[in-house]
Amino acid sequence: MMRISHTDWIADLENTWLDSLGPFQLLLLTLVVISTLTAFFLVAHVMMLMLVRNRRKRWADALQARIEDGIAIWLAGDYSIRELTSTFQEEIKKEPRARKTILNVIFATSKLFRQEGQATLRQLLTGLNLHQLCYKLLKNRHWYQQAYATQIIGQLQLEQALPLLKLKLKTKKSTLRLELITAMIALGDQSWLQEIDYTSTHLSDWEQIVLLERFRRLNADQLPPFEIWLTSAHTDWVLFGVRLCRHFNRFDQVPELGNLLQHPNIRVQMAVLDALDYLSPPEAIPFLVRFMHEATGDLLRTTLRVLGNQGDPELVKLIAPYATHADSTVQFSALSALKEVGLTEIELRQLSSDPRYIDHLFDPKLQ
Amino acid sequence: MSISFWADMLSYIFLVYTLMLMLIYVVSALASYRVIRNHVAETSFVDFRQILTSPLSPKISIIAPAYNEALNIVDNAKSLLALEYPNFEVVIVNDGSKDETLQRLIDAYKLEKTSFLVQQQVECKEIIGVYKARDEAVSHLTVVDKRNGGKSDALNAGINVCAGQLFACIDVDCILERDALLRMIKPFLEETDQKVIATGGVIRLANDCIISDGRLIEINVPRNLIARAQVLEYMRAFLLSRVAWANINGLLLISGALGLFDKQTVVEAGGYSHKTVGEDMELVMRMRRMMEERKQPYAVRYIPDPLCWTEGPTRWDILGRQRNRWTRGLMDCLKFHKKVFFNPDYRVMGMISYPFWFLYEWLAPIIESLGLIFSIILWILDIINGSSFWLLLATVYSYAVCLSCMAIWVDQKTYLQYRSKRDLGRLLLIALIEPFFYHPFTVYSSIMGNIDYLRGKKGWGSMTRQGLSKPATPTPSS
Repeated sequence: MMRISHTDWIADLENTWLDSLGPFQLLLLTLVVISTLTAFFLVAHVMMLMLVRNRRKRWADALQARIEDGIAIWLAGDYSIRELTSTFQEEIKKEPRARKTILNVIFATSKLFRQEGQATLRQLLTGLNLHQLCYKLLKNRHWYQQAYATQIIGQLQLEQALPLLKLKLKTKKSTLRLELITAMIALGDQSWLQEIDYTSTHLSDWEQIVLLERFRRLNADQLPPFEIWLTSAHTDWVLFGVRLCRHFNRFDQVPELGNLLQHPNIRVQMAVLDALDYLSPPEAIPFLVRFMHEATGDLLRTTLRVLGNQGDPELVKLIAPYATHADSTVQFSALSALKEVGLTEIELRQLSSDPRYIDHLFDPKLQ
Repeated sequence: MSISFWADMLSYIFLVYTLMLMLIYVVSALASYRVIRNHVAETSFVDFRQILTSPLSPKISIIAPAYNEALNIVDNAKSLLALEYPNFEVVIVNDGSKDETLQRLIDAYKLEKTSFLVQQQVECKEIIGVYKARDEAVSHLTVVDKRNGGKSDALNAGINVCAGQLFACIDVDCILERDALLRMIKPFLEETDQKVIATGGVIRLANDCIISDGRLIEINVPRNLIARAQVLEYMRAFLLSRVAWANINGLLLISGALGLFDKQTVVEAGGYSHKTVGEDMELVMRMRRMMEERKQPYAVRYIPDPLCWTEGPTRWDILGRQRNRWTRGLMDCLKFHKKVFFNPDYRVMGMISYPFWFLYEWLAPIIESLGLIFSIILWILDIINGSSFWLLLATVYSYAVCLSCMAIWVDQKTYLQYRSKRDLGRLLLIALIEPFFYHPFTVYSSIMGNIDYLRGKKGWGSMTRQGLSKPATPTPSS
């Protein structure tokens, strides 16, 4: 019956509507139907999302409160780890989805503890077999699930996962790679250093910021031997090495840093200037003076500033010629450096052809 | 050849054009959703506070031009100064305001005129004074007083004064999310193979939202129908289109309300142009052209997170003036950079982005209007295929509603900005009725923009705003 009426309908359409644009009418009709159905589906899905979200949230909030209470009682000493495990196992038995929530809470709680507390939480995790869930997530096809599992593995130091982590290190997803490196550092494994040459020729500034922040939390003896990156074939790793030398006050690396002023990459050169400015060792002055004679533009301006910050009066005669440089921005940097070295306002006015530079330099509101 | 032959031919052209446009929108919507979902997942792993404590964070200058903003300027400056970022300065440029904009700032922050030496890197009108605060707590505030020269001129003055490697240009009356800079800096830090020259962020409408102390407290769908239709329009544009364009590195427009730029590239490109009212789009196009001509790898990125909240027009006349200006700006940009049209030397920009903007952003209202006129003529001549006409209308309408529903769905699946049933209902209602009253008006305004452009009209026209700085609704206990 349905089939016949459908055919009739099409025939009717062809008889009454079809002329030279006939096929397009059918196309348009199809588009109307598809658009309308899609719109209905989307609206229905949005409404369903709204309902489910509210219901799930209520359930998850209640479960989370129970788990947190359980952990609080255990921390207070009123629960043994066995009692806590059996309480959580009951929750999992009632609703298997509770495993993920329990994992989340244990992970969040572990961030509040240092080594000893984490060992007990690790025991709880393995007691509930949730470490298997981590390994399963690590094999998930979505990178963000893998990254989440990696975070937990690193935080709770699940050493058995190390081979799996190493396998993943070749990923192109930088967020996951950072989590893997962090987890491997936490597990005391530095084999990722050897992997760099094969897998990570690039290291963005963002990755450097994240890694630096994580290195800052480590003890000095846990830090990777970053000075070897100063001679890396990959510019990004040289740059990171320079930045780490600056951050961790590696005065012993000043000669290597000075030599890196000859590196062909301007970002490395700027980072070296920044490091030498921060460390301010007198041994850096010969490198800086030599570089000042070769540099142009931004590099020259920065070098003048760094030399000025050294505060060595001997530098006056070397910097002074730049106060009459053809580039006005270089002139300004040179005058600023000379002021830092100790020249007075009157002496600088004699050197400069433009009094506005000196007005700017000695304006107390601009200091 | 008969009239009906030509009528058929034209019908085919209109039809193919419409179908192509629909196809492009659907492809871009699906691509955008994929990108946004990935972005949201990635962001959940990012602790933006790491940038706050990092010595590697580059300096950012926020440039906010102000013209006759005396009413809200102090609150707006306060909001900008409270942004989360370790190393930034706020440069407010008083563009020759006729009211007390400058004096209010001087009084509020105890500013003093300095001997600041301005390096003229890009063209701008005379700078009368540069003011800094005595108070250390606001030492990152600089106020520039200059002769009136328009928004682009004020932005150029800000570029000449600012010290950051990157600068953010923002409308002073916008409300920025506290972590907007932390999020927008990330694309600049992530790239290693190419230089990121600019990043844009999503703009949303703040009409009827509750704002207190320069912070957004509660997000609501506006009661005013014009503003509500714009909410949906912005969602469609930002969630379903720009993200996809950025993904293929084809973005030509970064909204003037919020954009972060590499200062060196902007200076080398010559700064903002004084010759157009579409200075935001023109700058991005010029920067891209420069990079393409130099054969330097570059990218223009886009953050799909809602970072900036602005007030949309609530009156037809103001909305009309805004759309008229947008059309004139677009026409300027297309005219200035016509060299790139289907020019393979400019790769994505020349072969995809520019042709899209030409064919589907500038021409679309014209084609739509011509289609309507064409249908009326056919009706008068009694040679119209009525069923085709109504089917075409039904297709366009159902498709428009479907696209709006998709924007709402993407928002619900990702950022969930409108949570209540009431807001959802309002959005769905406007999705159903907007094609009947709002869309025709924007098409009309765009046509008027074309006419005004041909008449040689310049300038912004007055843009009256009601102001966003509403206090939060007091609680009974207070």
